[in-house]
Amino acid sequence: MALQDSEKIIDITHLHKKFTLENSNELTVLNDINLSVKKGEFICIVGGSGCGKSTLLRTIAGLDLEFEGNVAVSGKDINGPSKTRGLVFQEARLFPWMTVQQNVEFALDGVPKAEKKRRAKEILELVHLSDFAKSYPKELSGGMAQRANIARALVDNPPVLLLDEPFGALDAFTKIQLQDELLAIQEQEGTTMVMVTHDIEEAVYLADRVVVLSNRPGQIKDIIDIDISRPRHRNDQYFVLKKKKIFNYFFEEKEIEEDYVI
Amino acid sequence: MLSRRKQWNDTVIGSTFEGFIPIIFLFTLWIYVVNKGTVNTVVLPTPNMVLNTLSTKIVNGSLLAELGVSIVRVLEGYFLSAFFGIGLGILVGLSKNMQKLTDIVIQVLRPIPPIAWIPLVILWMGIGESSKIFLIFLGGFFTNLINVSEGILYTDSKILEVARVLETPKWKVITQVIIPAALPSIFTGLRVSLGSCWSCVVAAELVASTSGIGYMISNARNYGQMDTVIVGMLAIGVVGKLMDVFLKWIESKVLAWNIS
Repeated sequence: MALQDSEKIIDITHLHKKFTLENSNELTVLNDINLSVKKGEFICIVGGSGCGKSTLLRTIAGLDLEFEGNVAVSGKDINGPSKTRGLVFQEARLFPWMTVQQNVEFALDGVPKAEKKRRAKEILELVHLSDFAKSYPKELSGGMAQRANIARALVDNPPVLLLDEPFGALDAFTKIQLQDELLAIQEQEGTTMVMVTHDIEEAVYLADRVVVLSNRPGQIKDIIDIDISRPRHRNDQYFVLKKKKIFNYFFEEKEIEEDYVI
Repeated sequence: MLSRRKQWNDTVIGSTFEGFIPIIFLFTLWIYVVNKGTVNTVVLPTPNMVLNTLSTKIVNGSLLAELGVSIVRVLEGYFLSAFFGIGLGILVGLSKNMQKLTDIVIQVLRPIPPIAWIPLVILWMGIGESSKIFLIFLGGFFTNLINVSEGILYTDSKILEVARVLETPKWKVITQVIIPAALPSIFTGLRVSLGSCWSCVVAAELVASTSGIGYMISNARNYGQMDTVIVGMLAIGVVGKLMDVFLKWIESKVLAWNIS
């Protein structure tokens, strides 16, 4: 899929990333990654543990600047973290001394108090957490904490939202619920989303395109269009077919792959 | 029933009922030893003598007066140690250069007990209030300093990363993330240092004092009044415990988010 320059919001070309190990050997983590993401698109990056998918996400976030190649967002090379790219971590990482609402408001700077309050209220409604605005993180379940985490990342309306296995630690029911809510948010806000996951079904359910990353060095094996209209049904034949296709990428590599869940 | 009893003890005394068993045991042992008559009551007075002295000193107000003098001194030294300890601790915790600059000095000065400072302190500050307060200050200063700086140094890097991603202004990161994250450690410092300041009071009042609970003890020693010595010791212990209960109570209010 060739994108026009004007359509691209994230543009990664020839991205290489190496770690220097203690014995001064080099480990290639990401090898020649080329990926363009369209505005409003939902991209899922799947791969096994240690394939560099989180590193890729952290690079886009601007947390990791030691790389070769080009990573541009909205036409500008990244040079650090930016409010224009929200990041949802796997662990909720809420500030335990702040209430949910204070956590969300923390993301807003240079905004009058009343405006902060209004926007926090709005976003908490969007993630169905209004009743817990005054609660402290220790009082929240895992799913609620992750909702608060997403709200904090979204409250400043970043055009891009990066998600690092956000539902990885949740139970299956909460996970499915939050997946639907995330899709609803994306539809309402038009946010471009890039999510890293090891859950193939999650990727097929959410993404417009699924990027399959191979293990060591992480490189793009395939980018699969998920041309299924929403709402998607997990047991449809075509859905299962897409799932199988991605699944097979990992099985040709290794007989037993224990690190992801179907 | 048990939970109600526990609740009462926790809120009022800050201890469990079980905690009083050793006290009862020690008391029984004490009564047994003095009744057997093998120990001279000049060396170890009977519980009765101690209780009599205690009630006399409470009734004539001298115990509370001496305690009051000491408490004021300790609080002055303690607040100074908290103020400078926390202030410098924040600077050391936030700045790598400050840390490099002060590390060795702190490590060398910290193990010196306040009592070893007495000769110099008398020479420098005389025998007035300031020398006593300075000794008490020394008793708490390093504990505060180290707890604050280490609390800041060990702030969860994952939480700092959140602030980085949100491009939070530096001042806001310090006041709303780093310092709150260090608060549990700061409170530990405040509690431990109050204990050490209070236990320094006897040493401080050895400096030509004519008042205070430390003076009461050393004066009674000169006259061989071991019952008064024990009353003084117990008073120090009880007040120290009450101070800790009070600080714990404040901590539970301020750090409610941290208690699971």
